[in-house]
Amino acid sequence: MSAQMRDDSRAELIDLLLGDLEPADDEALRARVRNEPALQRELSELESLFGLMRRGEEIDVEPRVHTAIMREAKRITRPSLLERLAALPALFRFRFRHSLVFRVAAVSLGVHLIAVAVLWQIDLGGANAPEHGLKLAFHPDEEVPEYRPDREFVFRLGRARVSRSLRLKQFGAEGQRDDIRTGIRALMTRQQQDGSFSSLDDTSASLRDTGSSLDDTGRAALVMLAQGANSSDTTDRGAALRKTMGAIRRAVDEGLSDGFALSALIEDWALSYEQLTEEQRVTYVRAILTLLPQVSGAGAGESLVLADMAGFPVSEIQLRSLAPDGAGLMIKGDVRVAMQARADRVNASAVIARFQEEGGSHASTALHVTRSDVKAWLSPLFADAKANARAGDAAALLTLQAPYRL
Amino acid sequence: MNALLYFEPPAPPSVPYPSECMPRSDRELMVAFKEGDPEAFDALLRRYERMLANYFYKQCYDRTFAQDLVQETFLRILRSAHRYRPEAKFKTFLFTVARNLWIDQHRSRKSAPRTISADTPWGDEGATLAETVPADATSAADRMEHREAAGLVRQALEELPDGQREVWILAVDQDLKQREIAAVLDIPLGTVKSRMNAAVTRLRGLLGGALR
Repeated sequence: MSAQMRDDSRAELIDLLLGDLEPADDEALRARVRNEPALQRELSELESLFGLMRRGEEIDVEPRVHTAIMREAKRITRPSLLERLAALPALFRFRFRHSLVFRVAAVSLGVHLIAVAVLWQIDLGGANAPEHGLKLAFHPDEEVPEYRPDREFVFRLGRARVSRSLRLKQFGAEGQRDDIRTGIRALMTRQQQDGSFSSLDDTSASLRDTGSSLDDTGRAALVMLAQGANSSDTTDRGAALRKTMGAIRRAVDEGLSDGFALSALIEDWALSYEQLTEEQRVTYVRAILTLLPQVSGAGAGESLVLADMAGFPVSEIQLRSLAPDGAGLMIKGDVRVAMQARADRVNASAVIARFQEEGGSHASTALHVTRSDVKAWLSPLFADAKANARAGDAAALLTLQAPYRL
Repeated sequence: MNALLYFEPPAPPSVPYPSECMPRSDRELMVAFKEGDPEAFDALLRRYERMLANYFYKQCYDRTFAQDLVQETFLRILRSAHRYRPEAKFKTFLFTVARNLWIDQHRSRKSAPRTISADTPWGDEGATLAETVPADATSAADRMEHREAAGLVRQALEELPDGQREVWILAVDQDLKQREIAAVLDIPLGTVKSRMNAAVTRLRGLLGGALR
């Protein structure tokens, strides 16, 4: 056998051993091998070589590697935000309750929607949220090992905010919730005793003395709330706000939420509403209304609507606090934008038409409105919402939940 | 009291999947994964992770490095899963990714001096190198006495040029068809066959005594 023929034969035998031959070729070669001792020897030697080489040491994959890969696989296969949202409307047809903090947890979808201070609706294939407040977070039961900015979903927000519950979850700070409440109470008590807070640092120290485990951000936010609520001097209040907002923004840069304290305050206000004196209620509302535009970037007028959306009985409390003499309330023209945003979710044309009739034809137009004006504007919204709710409109149902439903 | 709603939708009815009767193919698993089923990927992972680990291990004989490469390969597969087409064979897809990763890592690793710790597991029974080589073993004969067949294989593989070793491992250890190897390595089938032939010649020369 020539060298070339030997090489060719060996190549065929290798193909045979590797199972690379077509069945007919495989059978034909085996027949040849049976009849040619030289091929038999070659095949035997190759089998020995392959057999020996297959006895090499082998390793197993470590469990940590498997776990790490599967963690990523689960993360990747989690439905996209859009997919989750698209799947949500059906859920709203199920039972729900109104709440200041309206929360729907779609457990099976792994999504946790928290709508705070907001009305919103979901259309097929997308979500329309008002400019402020819709906060989407992963379900708290999901593994959130570390703070990940890319896990935040905020619609149309200039600044990212994450639901407080997620924040708390992320930072293992669920306990701070009660501390915030304790802190607010302490501040309110001190305010009543002292009449005012002398300085940010003093107040912060005072808060520490209460035993609160709040971090600097929480303290600063509370101080700001108290000072903002307490001061009737625009300059002082502005300085306090700027100072505190600076602290909060730094905290935001470090991964904390600037909406943290606000939502805590709103919740506390709501939860303790019945126990508060009228004066305390007004103080709370003033603090919230002071903080709201700073935190949300909203204008004063828009804040009114946001506050209303959050469930503050605007006609009962807010007007009294801001305009205790009942003379009326100056609302800047930007309220129109907010009103329209709201109206879009129910019946834009009716509200805007009414608004324009009142003279709100330009965004910068200042309007004098009264409590009854506000009520008049809002009532068609709820009439429409009720009608739509009866027709099965999920968004309308949500609309009914937020305002005036504490 | 803070009123919160947690709505838990009813669990979907349990429908037995055909996989309970017969294992799903790689393609089916990959498609299922692309459609959002992480368990499908778990099945794929279990099917191929050990194979892949040994593909890397036999090229470098570094367990830790091999583990890292397995992890990185599958992470790359996950990230590029959207590019997977059902008409492509998953195993080829997997080893193509693995091979590209190996080239990347091997290139940078080559520039670093290679060291093997005495605590590096060695041999089928997981003994360390220090345990495998007796302290008083001075002659080649003594060392050979303590070497297992695995040691011979390892030594032989390390003697092979990279191209031949790669083809050999994919063909003999990973059971890839030579045509698949050509696709993975992006070389002609004829080159695969000639490398395989050359590897056989070389291994016979290296292992002649052990084969007899």
